[in-house]
Order: sequence, then structure tokens, then C-alpha cells
Amino acid sequence: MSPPIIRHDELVTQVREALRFAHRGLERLDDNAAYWVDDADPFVSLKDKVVIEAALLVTVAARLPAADDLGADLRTVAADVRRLLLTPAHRALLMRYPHTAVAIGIGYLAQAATDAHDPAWEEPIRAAFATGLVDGIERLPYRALEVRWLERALSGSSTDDAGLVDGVLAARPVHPIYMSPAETYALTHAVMYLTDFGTRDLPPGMAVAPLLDATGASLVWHLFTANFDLLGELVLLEASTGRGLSVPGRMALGLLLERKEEWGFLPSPGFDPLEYQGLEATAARSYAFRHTYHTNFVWGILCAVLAVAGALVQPTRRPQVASPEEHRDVAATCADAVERAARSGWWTPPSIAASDGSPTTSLARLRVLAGERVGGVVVDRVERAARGAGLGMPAWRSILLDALLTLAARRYDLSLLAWLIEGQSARPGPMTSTEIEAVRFLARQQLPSGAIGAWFADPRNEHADAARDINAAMVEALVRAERRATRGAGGAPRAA
Amino acid sequence: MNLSEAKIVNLDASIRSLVEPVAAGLPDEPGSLVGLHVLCCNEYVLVTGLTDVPFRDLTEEASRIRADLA
Repeated sequence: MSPPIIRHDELVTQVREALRFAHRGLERLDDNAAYWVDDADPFVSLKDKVVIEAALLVTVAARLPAADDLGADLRTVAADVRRLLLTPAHRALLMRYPHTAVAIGIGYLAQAATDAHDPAWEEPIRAAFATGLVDGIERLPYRALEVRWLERALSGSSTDDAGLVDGVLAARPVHPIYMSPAETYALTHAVMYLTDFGTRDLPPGMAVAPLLDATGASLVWHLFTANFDLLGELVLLEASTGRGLSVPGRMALGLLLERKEEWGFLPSPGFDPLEYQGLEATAARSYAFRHTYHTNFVWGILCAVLAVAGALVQPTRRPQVASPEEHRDVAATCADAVERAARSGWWTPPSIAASDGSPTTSLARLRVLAGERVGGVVVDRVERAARGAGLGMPAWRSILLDALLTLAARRYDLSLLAWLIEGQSARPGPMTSTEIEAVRFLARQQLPSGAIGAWFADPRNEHADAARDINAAMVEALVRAERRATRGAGGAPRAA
Repeated sequence: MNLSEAKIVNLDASIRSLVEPVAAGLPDEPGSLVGLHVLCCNEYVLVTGLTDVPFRDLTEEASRIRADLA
């Protein structure tokens, strides 16, 4: 079992700092917001969004024990929220459009969490929910979970999420090869609301293992994108499930803490230093807050959940590897693709089957490749996080490989993808879920003509001089992948 | 550069010799194109804030940012 990366008192300090950061930002919100061009929602402005997220921070942080002495800071931010979100203008909005009870209700929740109940607000919010019209707009599936979560929180009811869980992304097969930040937020937010930030179990019947698998793969990917926003949310997802943190989850936590301690804040991914450098005075302060508030609020919520839910004292979850069935399935996929390529004339099986003599790609080489693709600074920091999490060389190598496989597939760099896959063929042991998905991705690039690669969707390319060499390289990678997968499932390879 | 690395480079070069007519149609990375998401989910308003951005090191600006947030 790994020791906690952060002690409880340090978590409390981080939560306190997040609350004080929120207070400073909310005090100047009117000045800051003067520089913001609002987003598309006509009912909830970016300014309101900041306040709602501060309210969420208060609501979750208020669950820490009284002994942690956060009361004064909690009440200060709750008062800021009240001043900014529970106004006559918002009351008018609530009266006209009942569905705004969700945004305004979250603001009210912060009052209730700090014992500042107010029937003048509580009653119209409940009344809005009672109309049924809160559900009268089209919402993303995880936003529907948010509505249900808020309803439970306001009413104390035990309404479950039946009927909603199947519709969320968290209940479907996902992998960072295919995911944008929006999909990642969809996963993290669903789990936050389903578990009430780590205080409830996930619904029975929900497939948790694949979800945690995808979360782990996403964490590995975002360690190398250095998207602190998504890293914080993904660790929060893990911490909320009651199943402890994974190895990449612990690495991400270490990385976030290191950044926070070095810089004093965590930037959102959109923080552009060049743009910031060109700003003066209030414009610069406005920019700085806009591009740090969300990540720092998420960090505060994460630390609060870690402090309350106890994820750090649970054993680190062992790396998930693919099942024998998944190995057999991907082996069959590879064999079919190879057979199709051979039948179409793109590849000729060798008369003597090649051994798995390809040397396994070294850790050093993977590290250099990663540095070339995402930057040496990023790789250095992730490596430091790996050491901090107590990773040995094999585990660190596995992390690097998974990240590079994800990168290669995302960027459609099939040369790199095929080479990486080929370089694993002699490795013993089971494949990770990312290795499996990367191999499936490559196999899925095969056209009905048997050629492999989207460029062959233009049939003119099939007649080019390089076409046969390209396809041979792709097929070789699949041949070797089939061997690795078959070994992983404990069988004999089918392809030559 | 060793033989295995040369394989990537040579394969890249071979692919590049093919790819010109098709490259314009291939998205660089999922989530990096607003257009891809509008196509997929037909929800333009949902794609705000979608894009992946490269890592930017803020070490040089950190003290000024802290002062602006204080």
C-alpha cells in the first residue's frame, strides 16, 4: 500500500486556500467580468458560472469535520455567493423560467451547507422543482444527473437515478483515443453527481470496472497533456468511487500538488502566457482569474473529497489489464485483418514464420519519443510524479507506452502506432486496455480492399509505388500484435 | 538513428507521398476541431471550450499571476 501523498491537515490547508482564492475572486467579480465576453447560455452567464462553482466548493468543503476549522472561510464564500447569485434579478429569472432553479439552487445549497437556511429562497426553488418544468429543457445526460442530485440535496429525498444512468457516457465504452475534453467532463461529472462527491455508492448494476479502466487510461493521457483541469477532475472521479486511486491517479495527484506548491495556483488549459503578457492592470487580473478559477475550484473540491471519502488511505488500485476474453477477441481481429490483407495481395506471409525477435522498445527510447512529441519539460515532471508514486521501471515504461499509443492513434500517426505495437510483440504478460484499444484502432483502419490506412480511401493511392510497403508495415504490426494477444490469452497464434 | 527508428521515418515519408489528396479531410486529433463535433453531435453551443490546447509553461509568469490573484 502506498502512503498517502498528502496528509489530512495538508488537504485542509489546500481547501482553505481554495476558499480564500474563491473569496478574493468573488469580491472582484464585477470588475473581472467586465472583460469577459459571455458564452452561449442566455440564462447563466460566465459570471454566474463562477459563482455556482464557488457554491459547489462550499457545499463539498462544508462536509469536512468541524475540527478542521473551516467555518469562517466557508461562511465568507457562502455570503459572497448569496450576494451575487441570490439577487432580485435571479429571483425574477426563477419566477419566469423554472429550469433556472438548478443553477440558483446550487447557489442556495451553499447557504444550507453553512446553516444559512432562508425560506424566502428555499420555498420558490422547491416550488420550481414541483412544477416539473425544471426538466422542461433539453439537457446533456450528465446534467440530468445534476438535477437529480440537487433535488436530493434540497429535499433530503432518496430519489435514485434509475432511468438516467444508461444514458450517460460513463455507462458506455470510451477511451481517450477518441475523447475530447467534453467527453472527459461528461465522465467526471456523472460520477460526481451519482456518488454525491464520494458519499454514495455508484448505482448497482453500473459497470464500474470499464469506467475505471477508461479513467485510468485518460489519466495516463492527460499526465502528458498537462491539462491540470482534467487531471483534477479525473482524480476526483476516482476518489468519488470509493475504490481508491489508481497508479496514474496517484501520479496525477502528486503532479497537481507539485504545480500548486511551485506556482501557488493551477492554471486552466486555456491560459496563454503570450496573451496575458500583453495585458495591463485590471485586464490582466481579469484574465488571470478567468483562466485559473475552474482548475483551482476543482482542486479545492478534490482535496475536500479526499479528506472526507478517505481515498488516500485505501490501497492503490492495481493496474488493470485486459481479460483473456479481450486478448482472444483482439487476436482474432488481428488475424482476420491479416488474412484479408493477404487475400487482397497487400501482404505475403513469409515462408518461415518470423520469430518474435523484434527487440522490445526500450524505456529510454520511449522516453525520448515522448519528449519529442509532448516536450521534455512535461515528461520530466511526469517522471518525477512516477518516482513520487513509487513506480518501478516496468510500471513507468507501461505508462509511457500507453501514453504514446494514445497519442499516435489520436494524431493518426500510424507509422508510430505500428512501430510501437511491433515493439511490444516479445513482451511477456497481459496487454493493458490501451494496448488492446490501440491494436483494435489499427485493425479498424483496414478498408474493404484490404489496404490499411485512411489515405487508401482515395483509391488512387492504392496504385502508388509506396502502397505495398506501407501496407506490409501495417500488417506486420498486426501479425505481431496477434501473437502478443494470443500469448496473453494463453493460446497459439493463428496468423503467420 | 537506428534501424527501427528509421522505419518510422521511412514509413512517414512513404505515407506523405500518398497523403496529399486525402490529408485535408483528416482531422488532426479528436476534439481539436470544432467542425468535427458539430458534425457529430449537431450541437454548436456544446462545443465551446472543447478544444485540446498544448501545454504552456507558466513558470516565468507565475509570480505576476499570483500577484494578480492575491
